[in-house]
Amino acid sequence: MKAVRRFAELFRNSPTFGRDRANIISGITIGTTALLLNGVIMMMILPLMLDPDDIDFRMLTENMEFGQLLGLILLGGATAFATVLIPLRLASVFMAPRIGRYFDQIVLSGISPIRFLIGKVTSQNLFLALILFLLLPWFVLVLSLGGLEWPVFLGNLFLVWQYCMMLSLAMLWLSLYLNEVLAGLALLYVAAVLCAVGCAPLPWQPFVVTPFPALMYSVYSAVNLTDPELGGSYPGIFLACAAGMATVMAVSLGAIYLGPLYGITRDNSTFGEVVKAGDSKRRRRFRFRLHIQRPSELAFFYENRGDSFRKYEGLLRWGIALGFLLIAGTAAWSALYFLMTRHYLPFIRAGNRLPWVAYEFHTLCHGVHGVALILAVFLFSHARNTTYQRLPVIFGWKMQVSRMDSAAFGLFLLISTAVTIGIPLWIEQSAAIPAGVTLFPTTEMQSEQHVRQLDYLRLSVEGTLALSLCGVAVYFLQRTLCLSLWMKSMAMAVGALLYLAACITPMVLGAIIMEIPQLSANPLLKYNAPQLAMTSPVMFFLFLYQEGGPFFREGLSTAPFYLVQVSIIAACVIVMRPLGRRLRREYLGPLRTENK
Amino acid sequence: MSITAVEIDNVTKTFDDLIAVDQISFHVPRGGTLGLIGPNGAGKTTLLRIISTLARPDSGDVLIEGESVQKNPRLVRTRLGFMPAEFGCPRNLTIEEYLDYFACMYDIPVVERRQRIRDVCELTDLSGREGVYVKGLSTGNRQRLLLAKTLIHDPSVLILDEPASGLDPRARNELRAIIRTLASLGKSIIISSHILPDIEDISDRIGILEAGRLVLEGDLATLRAQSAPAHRAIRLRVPTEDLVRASGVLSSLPNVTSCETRDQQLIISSDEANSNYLLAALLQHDIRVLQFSENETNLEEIFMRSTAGKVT
Repeated sequence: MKAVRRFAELFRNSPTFGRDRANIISGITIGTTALLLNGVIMMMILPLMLDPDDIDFRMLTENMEFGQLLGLILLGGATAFATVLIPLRLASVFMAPRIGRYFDQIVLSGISPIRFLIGKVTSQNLFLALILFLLLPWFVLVLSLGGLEWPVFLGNLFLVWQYCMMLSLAMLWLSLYLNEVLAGLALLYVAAVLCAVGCAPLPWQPFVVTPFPALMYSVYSAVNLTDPELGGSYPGIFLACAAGMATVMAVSLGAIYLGPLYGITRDNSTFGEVVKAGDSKRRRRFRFRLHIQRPSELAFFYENRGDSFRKYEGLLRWGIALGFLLIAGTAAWSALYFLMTRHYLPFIRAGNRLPWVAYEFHTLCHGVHGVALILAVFLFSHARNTTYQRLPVIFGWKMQVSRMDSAAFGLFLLISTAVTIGIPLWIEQSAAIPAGVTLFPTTEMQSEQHVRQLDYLRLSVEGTLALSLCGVAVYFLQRTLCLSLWMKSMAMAVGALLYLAACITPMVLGAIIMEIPQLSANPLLKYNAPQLAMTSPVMFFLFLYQEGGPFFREGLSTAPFYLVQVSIIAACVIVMRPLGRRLRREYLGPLRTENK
Repeated sequence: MSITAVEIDNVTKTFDDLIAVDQISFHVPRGGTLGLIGPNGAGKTTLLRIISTLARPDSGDVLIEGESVQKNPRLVRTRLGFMPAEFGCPRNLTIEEYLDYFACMYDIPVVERRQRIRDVCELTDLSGREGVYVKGLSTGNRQRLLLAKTLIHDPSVLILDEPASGLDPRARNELRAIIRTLASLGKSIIISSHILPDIEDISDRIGILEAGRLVLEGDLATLRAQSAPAHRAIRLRVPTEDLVRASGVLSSLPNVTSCETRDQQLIISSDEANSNYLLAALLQHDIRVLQFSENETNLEEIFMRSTAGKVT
């Protein structure tokens, strides 16, 4: 009971809740919200009112009660409104104390980040309540028109609430790493895109992180736009949306709890707090860093948290990241297992022909492995200002961030590689063979005339190992770039561009040589063009899947691919050594870079 | 429990090539008040930020009631109140809302909060003004409010950075009285200021910083002794008709380096520790002494003598 009371107190007794409550329950907020909200609703209803004889609208109203339709429009309007305003409302959570110059006072109070931030999230309930309150006249109209399906309406209302909470948490999460204005704009953009694609009548809606798939379900089912086989029912869509948003909420909450890694800030860094005498006026404009970087602010996320976090920070941080990857990987592999055992294999056993099933299955396996490795590269790398920090891992034992990164990535790489090789073999033994089919055929009927020779066992094993090698090469590239750049997202973007160039350039050059007769007439070029193209990972996988065209059919050596990947790794190791030495000299001396 | 409230042990802090605080060590006993003075850029604010856990020293440590600011900053924060030099606050708040906001930050139970706000308002002479908006407050009242906020969680150590900056003489006087009251309540106080009479009046001990170094530290008597000039200045008043005679008598004494007549008074510079020989000489010549005093060095003179105007 005491724990429950303390938990409730966490929400109620947050200073930001009190401040935000006072802001929301004010004449100006209520008046502005009422004007804007009714404007949005009118804009949504206006097209219907302007042309009531429109054929689509008539089809809709013939199949659906107008009260139900208006109820959906109101909830859709509230969602759109929240999408725009919630990121804006939360855009000052760190910036206001910094501009108002009282962030240090917040730090000194010893308040934990979660208790400080949770009030901002809690107060969004009030904001949603205000939106719903202002929509009351419209809801009265909905009830007067009749036909409202209460379970669906209440389900949708719950999803709108959950969406508001998710937006708040995601905004706070982004605010830890980005300037809040940028974070707000980024979130607004992503949420708007997800809302838009969530409205699309897809047979299998994957964009379930907004309430729109559930809101639109009633409309699409009324006009028979849903696929009865894959579309499921309203409870299914509702649960998918609720689970999708709950996942984003959990990830955001976890990220807020972890906070940014304590970094070393430097004068005249890219974060721009210029304090040196003689700087030009233009440079002085960057004096005020727009997002949290100042050590006393970062201290907020470290020193004002519980002792257990501070003692086991390394374990928690890398453990949560590794746990997240393993859970996400398990979910993906489980989905693949169920897709095979519940959908494809019974379909084949029923006598249907599915020639591409093995191909699709192995592509999906490699896809899961590849995405997991990209996520691991991002999660297990850190920018230059944190690379050589030493963090407590367990029982006061400290370890360098770079070593933790390497260890965690190596461990995940091993697990993911083993699983990607092992699970297809296990599904083959446990489900495919008993069903009388194989996922590792040696020939595959593509059409009546064409039979493709494809060694799926080699494809599975060698493809996975090659993908792992690519992952290692990308990881080394990322770590090298991280030694020079301040933001790992920037390092990731630059690394991706470089690696993409390494993938595309040899392939394009090889194709040019083979396709241009004047060039292919040269026997030396003609002989080496496929070898050159084979240095590209894309070409390697096209070759493995026998999609490379007539030049890449048989007998071609895959050695150039391996050689290039190993060369990238070796080059990174060579470059990393002096960069690392310089950085260590710079950072492992006395910490003397904090700004006044 | 430690009898030292604040112990600063060999603290150094640099910003790139600039040494802001250079191997400073001193301590403040429980219930003591230490005044920090120094020219602009001497490192006072940096030192106060280190003591307040807002900046980390490059080397050395600060202990607040025995707890290290580096090892246990969270515990230290519960024990100290830091009043920054500049006033910052959320928008559109009344005094009560402002104090409630910070009381909530300090996790003071809801049932105690109202009483606590009332107490600090009373202590800082803000009672009856709880409903006034912060943005409309005068500088003096803002400083009081900032002090009230600093006291809201009842800290035992107070760090006050330029609390009297920008205040008129009356407001300064009132603030001084509040700080004296706090000292009498047993709070250990470190106060930095450019207003030397305030520091002289409030502090038990005084530290003078220059270019990041602590050039002098101790109580006023010690500072006077440490920075005493080679010659002592003695002021004598004799009847006007004896003025010339007295000047002649005193000038002839061996230990008197100079004797000037200024405003019907004799200003004697002497290198002898005991000034009684002056009185003896005058009495011997039957000259009545109406007033005899030795010029006492004030803090401003000590400050001017001990600093060379260097800034970091």
